Amino acid sequence: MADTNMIPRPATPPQPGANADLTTTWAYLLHGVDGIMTRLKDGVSYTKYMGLYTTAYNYCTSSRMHGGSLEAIGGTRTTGANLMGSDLYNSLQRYFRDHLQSIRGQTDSLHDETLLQKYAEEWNRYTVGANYVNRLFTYLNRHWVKREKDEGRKNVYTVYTLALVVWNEEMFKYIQAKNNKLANAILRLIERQRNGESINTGLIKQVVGSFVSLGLDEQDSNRSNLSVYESAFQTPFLLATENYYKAESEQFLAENTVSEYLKKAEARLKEEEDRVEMYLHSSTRKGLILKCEDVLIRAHAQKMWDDFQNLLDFDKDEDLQRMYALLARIPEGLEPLRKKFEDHVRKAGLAAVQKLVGSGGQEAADQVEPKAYVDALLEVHRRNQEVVNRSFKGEAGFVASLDKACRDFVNTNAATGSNAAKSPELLARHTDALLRKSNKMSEEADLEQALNEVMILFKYLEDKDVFQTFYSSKLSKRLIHSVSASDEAEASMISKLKEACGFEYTNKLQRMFTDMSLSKDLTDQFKQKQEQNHGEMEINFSILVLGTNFWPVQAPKIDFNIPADILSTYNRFQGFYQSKHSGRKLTWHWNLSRNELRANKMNPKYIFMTSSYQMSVLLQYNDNDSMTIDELVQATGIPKDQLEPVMNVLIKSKVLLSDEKDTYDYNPNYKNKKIRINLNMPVKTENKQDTSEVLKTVDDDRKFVIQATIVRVMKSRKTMKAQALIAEVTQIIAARFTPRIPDIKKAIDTLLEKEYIERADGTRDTFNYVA
Amino acid sequence: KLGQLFDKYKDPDGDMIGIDGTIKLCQDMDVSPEDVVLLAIAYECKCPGVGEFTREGWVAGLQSLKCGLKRALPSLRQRLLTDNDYFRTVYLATFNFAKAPDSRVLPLDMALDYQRLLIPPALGSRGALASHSPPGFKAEHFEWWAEFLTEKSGMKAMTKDVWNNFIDFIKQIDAGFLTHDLDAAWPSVIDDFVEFAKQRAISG
Repeated sequence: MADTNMIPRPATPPQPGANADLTTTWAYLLHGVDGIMTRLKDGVSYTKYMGLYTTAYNYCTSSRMHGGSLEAIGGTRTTGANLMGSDLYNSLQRYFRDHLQSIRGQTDSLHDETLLQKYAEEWNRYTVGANYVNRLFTYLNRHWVKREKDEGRKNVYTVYTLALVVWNEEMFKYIQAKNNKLANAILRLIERQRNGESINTGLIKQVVGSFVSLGLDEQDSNRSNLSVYESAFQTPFLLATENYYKAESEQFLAENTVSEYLKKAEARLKEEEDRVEMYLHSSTRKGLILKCEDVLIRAHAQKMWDDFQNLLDFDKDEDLQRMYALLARIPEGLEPLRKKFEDHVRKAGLAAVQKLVGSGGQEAADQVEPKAYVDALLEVHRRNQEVVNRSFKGEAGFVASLDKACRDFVNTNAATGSNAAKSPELLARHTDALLRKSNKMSEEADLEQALNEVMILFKYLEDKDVFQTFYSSKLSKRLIHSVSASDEAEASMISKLKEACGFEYTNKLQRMFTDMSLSKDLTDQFKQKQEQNHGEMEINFSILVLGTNFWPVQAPKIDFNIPADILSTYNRFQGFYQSKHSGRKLTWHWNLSRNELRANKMNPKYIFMTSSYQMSVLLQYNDNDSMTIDELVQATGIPKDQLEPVMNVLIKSKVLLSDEKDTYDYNPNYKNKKIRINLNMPVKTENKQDTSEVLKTVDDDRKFVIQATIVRVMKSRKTMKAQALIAEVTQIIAARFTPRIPDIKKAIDTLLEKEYIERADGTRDTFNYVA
Repeated sequence: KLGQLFDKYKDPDGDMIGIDGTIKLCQDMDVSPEDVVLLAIAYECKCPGVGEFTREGWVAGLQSLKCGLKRALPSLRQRLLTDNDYFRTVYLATFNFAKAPDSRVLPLDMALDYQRLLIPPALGSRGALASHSPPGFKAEHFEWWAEFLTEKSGMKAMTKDVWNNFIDFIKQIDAGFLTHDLDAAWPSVIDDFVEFAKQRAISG
C-alpha cells in the first residue's frame, strides 16, 4: 500500500563499456542524473555514483570518432575529446530544460505564499541536485568546459551554472512573465509584514536568495552579479516602499502630532534596517534607507522644522533628541534647526535680562545688581548648553549657534542698552564680589566653581579690555585694602584669564602681586632696620610700594600736610628706600592709606580705623578742642571741597560735634558699644566716578592699541591696501575688543600725520610704512 | 634785467624779497595781496614762505613766464583756475608754502582761508575742479565744509593728508553726498563731514 503513489521507474540501464557510443552512454547517465535531480532522498549508492562518474569520464576521454549524428555547437573541432564533451554538455542542457518544463506547470495555479513555497521547494531540490550532478561531471567541467571558455566561447558554463541558467530561462522567467508574479508575491508578503502581520520571513529569504544566485556576469560567468535581484526585485521593492511610506506618513501626520510622527518615523527606519538584516541582500540597505529617509524625513522636514520651536518651548527633550537624530540623516536637515535654536537662545537671554530690569527703564538698567545679572545670563547658558549636549549630542553646529546667541545677548541686552562696556563692567564687579573676603562662600570649591562660571561669560565678552580695566581697578582695591578672599583664588582667576587671553592680558595683574610680596619684604626689612637704629617703634608701619605703570591708581593732586606724629617715620622710610633704590621716586597715595588711632583721651580708649585724611583731622584735636573749617584746611592741607565729606563722616559718627556752622568740636562724651570703630567708609558716589574713570582709561588704551597694531602690521607688510589693513587690524584686536572702523581710520589719520605711514604715490587707498 | 627788478623789491638788509617788498610788488602789479594768482606766482618762484622770494627762485620763475610779470597775470590766473593738473600742482604746493617751516600742519583758519581762495573759483563747469556732470560739489558746499570744521569737528589744524585728499573728494562726490564710499580710505574727517553734509542736504 505504501508504494501506490510511487511513479514507476524505468529499469536501470546497464553501465556502458569504456568505448560506448553516445546513445548508450547517455541512456545510462540520464537515468542516474534524473535520479539525483528528482529522487535524491532515495540516495545514490557509492557504486552507482562511481559508475556514473566513470562513464562520464570514459566518454570524455575516448578519442574515437562517432558517426555524423553529432550536434556540433560550432567552430571546427580538431580533437575527439572536444566533440565528446560537446555531446554530453548538450544532452545535459536538454535534460535540465525538459525537466523544468515538465514541472513548472505546477506553479500555474499558485499565488502568493503558496507560490513562494512551491518555488522555494523546487529551487532547493533543483540546486541541491544540480550540485551533485556538477560534481559528477567534474571532468567535463575541468577539461571541455574550461577549454571552450578559454577559447572565448560565450554561453558555455560549468554544469552547475548551466543548471542555473536553464532555471532562469525555463522556470524563473516563466513565472515572472505572468505579471511579475513571483516578485509581487514577495512584495505583498512584505507589505503584510509592514502592516503588522507576522510572516514567514525565511521563505522570502530563500526566494530572494535564488534571485541573487541567478545573476550572472555577462563577461565572466564564474562571477555572479545582482542583475536579476536588482531588476526583478529591488527596483519594484524600492518603488513599493516609497509608495507605502508616502501614503502612510501623510495619513499619519494628518491624524497625529509631529511628536508622534517622530516616534513612528524612527521606528519605521529601524524596522527597515532590520528587514535588510533579516532577509534581503545587504546591497539593498543603502538604497532602501535613502528612500525611506527621503519619504519619511525629507518630505516632512518642513513640518518638523515648524514644530521645533514648540518642542524647545516645552522642553520636550526626548522629542528634540528624536527630531535631531532624524533630521541629522539628511544633509540639509539641521541647518534650519540651528538657526531657530540660535534665535531661541538669544530671545531667552534677552528675556531673562528684561525680566531682571523690569519696566524701570534706564534707571532700573543702571541699578542692575551684578550677581543677579550674571546669574540670569548663566542660567540661560546652562539650560541651553544642556539642551545642546543632551538633545543635539553636542553637535558642533549647535554649539556654534549657542555661542553666537550667547555672544549677542551677553553683550547687548536690556541692561546694557547701547553701552558696550556695561556687561564687562557687571561681570568684573561680580568677580570682585566673589574674590572679596565678604563673599559668603563657605567652600573653596564653590568659589572655584563660581569663577569658572565667570569665565563662561567672559568668553562671550566682546570688549575684554573693558573687563580687564575694571578687573585691574578692582584687584588693586582688594590688594590695597587687604580684602581679598585668598591668594589661591586670586591666582586661580588670573591663570584662567591668562589661559583665555594670553600673557599680555594678565601681565600687569601679575605684576601687582609681585609688588605685594616685594612690599611685604620691604616692610619687614624696614622694621628690622628701625629696631636696630631706634629701638622699638612707637608707630606700627607697613608699606605698599606699587609700580606706577602697573597699578591703576592716581595720586591726589593736593599738598597734604604730613602730620607731625608720623613725619619721622615718613622721613626714615624715604631715606631707607632711597638707600635701597636710589633714583626711584616715591609718590605717596595718602588717599589710599589707612590708619588705626588709639584715643588715649577717651575712656575707654577707643581704637578708630581711619583714612589718612580723617587721621590728620583727628590729630588736630590733640591740641585743640574746637576748630573752624578754615583752620582745618590750613592745618591739614586738604582742600575744602575734599575736606567736607571727611568732616561729615566724623560728625555723623559723633567723634566730632558741630554745633555751629563750619566749627567742629571734640566730643569728650563719645560712646560706642564697640572698642574698634571703623570710620573709613567708602563714599557712595565712588562707584559712578569709578566707572567713568575706567571707561576713559579704556578709551585711551584703545587708541594706543589700535595705533600700535597698525604700526606693527605695516612694519611687517610695508605696503598695504586700506581695506586689508583695516580687516587685519580688526581681526588682531578682536580678541580684546571690537574696534570701530572710524576709530581705526582716525588712528590711520594720526599715523599719517606723524609720518609713521604715508599714502603710496598716486593712490588714495594704499599705505606705505615709513621706516 | 630780472635781477634788477629783484633788487628793486628786495629787503635792504639781505638778498630776499620780504613782506614789505611783496606788498609793494602787488601795488605795482595792481593786484590785491589776496588774489589767488599770487599762489601761482609763489609756486613758479618757489617761494619758501608767505611773502618771501629768493633771488634764484625769482629769476627762474619770471623766466618761465616768458613775458612781463604784470602782463602774464590774467593768463596765469586763467590757467590756474581751469587747468586740472596745474591747479593740482599749485594746490598741493600751497600747503607747504603756507605752513610754518617746522610744523607739519596748517592752523585750521589759515587752511580754510587758502582753500577758500583756491577752491570755490575753480568749481565752475569749466573750472579746474569741475566734476563729472551733474556737478556735485558747489561753492555753498564749501561753506558747509568750513562750518563743519570750525564748529563740529573739534579740529584745530589741518593735516597735509586732509588738505591733499579734499580736492579729490570734491571731484568725485555727488550733490546729495550719497555716493561716498566709507570703505575707501578717505581721511576720517571727510567721512564725518559727509555724514554732516548728508543731513544738511536732506534738511535743505
